[in-house]
Amino acid sequence: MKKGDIIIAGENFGCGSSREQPALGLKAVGIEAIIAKSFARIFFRASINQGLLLIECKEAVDNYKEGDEVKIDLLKGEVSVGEKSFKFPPLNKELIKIRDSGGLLNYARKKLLDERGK
Amino acid sequence: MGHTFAEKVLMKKGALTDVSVGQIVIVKPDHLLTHDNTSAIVSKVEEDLNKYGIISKSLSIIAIDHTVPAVDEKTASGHKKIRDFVKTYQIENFFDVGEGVCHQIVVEKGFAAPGKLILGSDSHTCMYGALNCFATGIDRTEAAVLLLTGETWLKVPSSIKIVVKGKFNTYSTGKDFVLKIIGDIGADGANYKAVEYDGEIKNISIDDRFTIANMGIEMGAKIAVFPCDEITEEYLKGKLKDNEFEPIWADENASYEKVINYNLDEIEPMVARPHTVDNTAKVKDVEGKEINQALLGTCTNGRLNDFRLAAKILKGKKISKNVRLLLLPASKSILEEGLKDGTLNSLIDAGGILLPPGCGPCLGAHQGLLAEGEVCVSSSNRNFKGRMGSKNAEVYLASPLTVVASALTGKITDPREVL
Repeated sequence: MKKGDIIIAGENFGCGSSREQPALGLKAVGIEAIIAKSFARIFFRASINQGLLLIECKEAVDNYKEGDEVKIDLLKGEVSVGEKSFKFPPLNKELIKIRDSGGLLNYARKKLLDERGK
Repeated sequence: MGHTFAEKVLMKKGALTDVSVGQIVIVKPDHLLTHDNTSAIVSKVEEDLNKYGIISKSLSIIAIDHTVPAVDEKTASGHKKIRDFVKTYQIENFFDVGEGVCHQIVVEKGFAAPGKLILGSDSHTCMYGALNCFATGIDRTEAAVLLLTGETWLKVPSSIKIVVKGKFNTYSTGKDFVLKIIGDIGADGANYKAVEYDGEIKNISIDDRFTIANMGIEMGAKIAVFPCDEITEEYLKGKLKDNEFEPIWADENASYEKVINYNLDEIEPMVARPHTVDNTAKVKDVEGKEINQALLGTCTNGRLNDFRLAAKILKGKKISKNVRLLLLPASKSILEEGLKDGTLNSLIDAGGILLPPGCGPCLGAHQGLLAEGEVCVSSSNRNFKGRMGSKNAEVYLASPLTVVASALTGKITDPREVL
């Protein structure tokens, strides 16, 4: 794995306990985003909260062949796999804010600093 | 268009007049549950806590339950750190080693009441849906942020309705029912979704509701919830501080992704075979598989009624000499009641080993783990590979009746054979 890599995965990716270590680990090794057919719920939350980008797009996963270049356009809600591109439901504004802050904790810290200073 | 339970709770908690599926709502939960992982959670925000303190002394419910009493120096230090945190920040709701599994404490001590929103850093937080709560698991970072700010985000889930009619036969329980559902729809069959139980729920006891709601996460559900009825109110009597609560239920014209019907009369004893909860089968189709251990208890099936059901089969008998039967009450008060009325005594007489209330072997922490090649029948909620010791051990999930029927014969046994 290298920085900026994207994981392509199947159904219910991240199914397990409420532990966040899987999301933390993937973020730490430089994974930028995961595109899967579906995610396990707590993994989805944990990843967003760590600033990891998760995209649910069944078509993109089905059309992926090894070696294809994968690009994600967040604003357009579009993922391109090789020559083809697929739509995904765009992420909510609040969640993009959390991701852009580098995760929920940093997002909360900024907010606390704004509200209470120090 | 009417609203589902999930939509109505999130509208109320988010102070919104309308919400739609997929919308992100910023909410302030009524309670935040954390357990042994409190020490790791606190570590994430130590500096922030020094600066800002905690948002509320009454928001947190903390129970030390996963590895109790401590198994080694590392866990002991973790527990100590939690006690220090509780003392420093004067946390009001703290339950130390021996009080029981966090989820049982939340329902027993009156923290869970109809219409409340409870978030917890544990997958099985969804259990309080049995008491008409919106209750769901979150991760540690999120729990840490809640300590500081008291608020987080929730996505409005779509909903599935499960409508029941009829009632269980004497050999079937809520466990068999929830295993049947998980087998039918799969471990991701309710992924992200709210599962509402409706119909003739008056035929489902509160203990069975706890079991069914507890295992909501095993079908991927965000919440698994029952309406508040006379059974709920009876259970809550004397438990709530102010005895004031506002039940919430879906509008009749709410919209569901799916409605599934079940006839409880038709539910047969079920197991989840290794190594996933949705790998289900009828007990009679796996009968005869030799076992080494039987685990009766946990937050899924460690309530007094579960032990009473077990005692119905085991009283006056001796279990197979090839089986270790572990008894794991979900809380201290269950332990006390079970000793007072003789239920646990009769299970001990039959050959059971009584463990202190807590999680222990269920998640492979300590006290009764499995060696390579060993087989356990367990009333707990997960049978993932390696969860209860060796990666090459096998765990079959089943009802308390099936667990003790199997302990009696030394082989997986349909309770109808011994009832």
